[in-house]
Parts: sequence; C-alpha cells; structure tokens
Amino acid sequence: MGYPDHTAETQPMSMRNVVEVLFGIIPVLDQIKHSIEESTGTIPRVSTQLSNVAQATEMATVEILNVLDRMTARIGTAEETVQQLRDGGGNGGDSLTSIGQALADTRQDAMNIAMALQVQDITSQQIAGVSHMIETVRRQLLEALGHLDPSQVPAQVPGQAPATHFDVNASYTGAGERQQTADAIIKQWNKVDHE
Amino acid sequence: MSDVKFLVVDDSLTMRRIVVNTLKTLSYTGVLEAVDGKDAMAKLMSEGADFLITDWNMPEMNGLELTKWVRSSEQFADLPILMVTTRGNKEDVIDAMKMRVNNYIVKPFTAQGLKEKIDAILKSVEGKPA
Repeated sequence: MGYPDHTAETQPMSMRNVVEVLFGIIPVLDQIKHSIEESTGTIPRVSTQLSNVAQATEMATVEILNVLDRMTARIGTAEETVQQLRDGGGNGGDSLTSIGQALADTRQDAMNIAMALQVQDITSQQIAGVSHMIETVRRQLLEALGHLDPSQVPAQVPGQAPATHFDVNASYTGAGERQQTADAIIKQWNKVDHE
Repeated sequence: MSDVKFLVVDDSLTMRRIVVNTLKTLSYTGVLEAVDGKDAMAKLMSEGADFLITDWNMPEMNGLELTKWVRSSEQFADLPILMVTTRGNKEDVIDAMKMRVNNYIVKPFTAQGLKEKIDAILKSVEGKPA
C-alpha cells in the first residue's frame, strides 16, 4: 500500500500565498520569542533569590549556635560554682552574685535566639518571591505554548498571589543600615512637621 | 506603663510570637493579636487597643491600608502606630510617614530596638495635649 496521491487535488501555492502565511507566522514567532526571553530573564533572579534564602538561614543559624556556645560555657561555669558551694568552698556571697549574673545573661541570650528566629519570616517572604517568579515563568511559557498548540493550554490557569503579600527584597542582612536610614528620614520628617 | 493594651498585627505566627514575647519581657501583658489588616480592624472595633504594632506586607489588607483606615476613623485616629517591616527603602519609609505612622522599625530588629521605639512613641503621645 502506498500513500494516497493528492497531487491532483492540491493547488500549487503562489508566492503571494507564501508571503501571506509568513506575515501571519512572524508575529506569532515574535510573541513566542518575547515570552521565552522574559522567562529566561526571570530564571537568574530565582537563582539569586534562593541564594538569599540559603545565606539568611546560614547567618541566623551561626548566630544561634554562637549564642548556644556562650550559654553552654556559662552554665558549665555556674555548675562549677554550685559544686564549690556544695563542697563548702568559695565565698557564698560572690558565688550567688556570679550565679545570678549567669542567669541574667542566659535570659538575655534566650532573647537573642528568639530574635534570630525572625529569619523564618524573612525567608518565607523570600520563598514567596521565588514562587511568584516561578509562576510568572510558567504563565509566560504557557502563553508561548498557546501560540503553538492552544489545546495544550489549560482553560483555567490558577490565580497568582498578589506580590503585595510579601516583600521580595526582604533581607536578613543590613537591617542596621536600613534602620539608620529610616531613623534619619523620620527625624527629618518630624522636624519639618513641627516647624 | 504596663497597662498599655497592644494590638500586634502580622501574618507570620513566628513574628507575632517574637513581638508578643518581647512585650511580655518589657512587662506589657495586655496584648491582642491579629493576622492581617481586616482582622485587626475587627479586633479594634470589638476589643479596642492603646497601641498598634503592624507589619506592612500582609494578605487581605496590608499594614499601610490598615494605617489609612485607622487614621481616617473617628474612634482610633490618634492611636499610636509602630510599623514593623522588612521594607527599609527610603521610599517605603516616606510612604509610611505620609500615612502618619508614629515610628518605623526594620526587621530583623533587636529587643532593645523595639523597646526604644515603643518608649519614644509613648513619650511623644504623653506629651500631646488631650
């Protein structure tokens, strides 16, 4: 069995038809190129954002570990002081003072650990930023796919969370400098406000 | 001072716990919590508050929109507001000041930093004529 011969039915395409077809295809190809370019441009930002997440978690973890090291050393010293008191040695008043100071410092360190856990909020905003970027890329690629084969594009693309729900620039580092900037603006603002 | 009733607004449970625990360490025991601006509006209407600590980026209603609502309401127009946010650009701070927040703190903050901002706001509010 051979292939059916349609030669007799097929009209030869004129040069004019070819040009018309090309004129129809070129804008579609441009749109596909545009979608792919935008998607490609977003991917490095996703990568940077993920590096920020890793950097933030590492910094906070190191901070917490440093505080835990200090706490452990301090508790060890306090235990030795308590042991000396039990053995009837050392100066009772001085020992109690040093144990009291160790407890106060440990309370402060516990607070410092709690503060370092703000990293959870910061990284969750950074990750929300990554999800937003990935969703943007998916939409751009679906748009490109739609030009090639509309049947492959789902009728309902799920809604995207607005970018106002998170701060894509959230950072665990440099808060001191940003706070100084904010304080300077507020000071200036209040000065003008009172004049 | 410790009888000040705070409303802490943040969509992050972690951040709410950190702020609430810090307030308790500072001897402020009256603390309410809300998960976003809309929830905060409801809590203010039903339970009231003397001091609002709010995040900026939140679903439903963000901190800036909440501040706008507070300042335009008759009942809470003078409520002290501290914005606590990751947003630290110059433009962000100016936008917040335009909405008349009393002060602004950038995350991650320290317990001492939060205390200083609260003290400064309470001092400025006490100095104002009733």
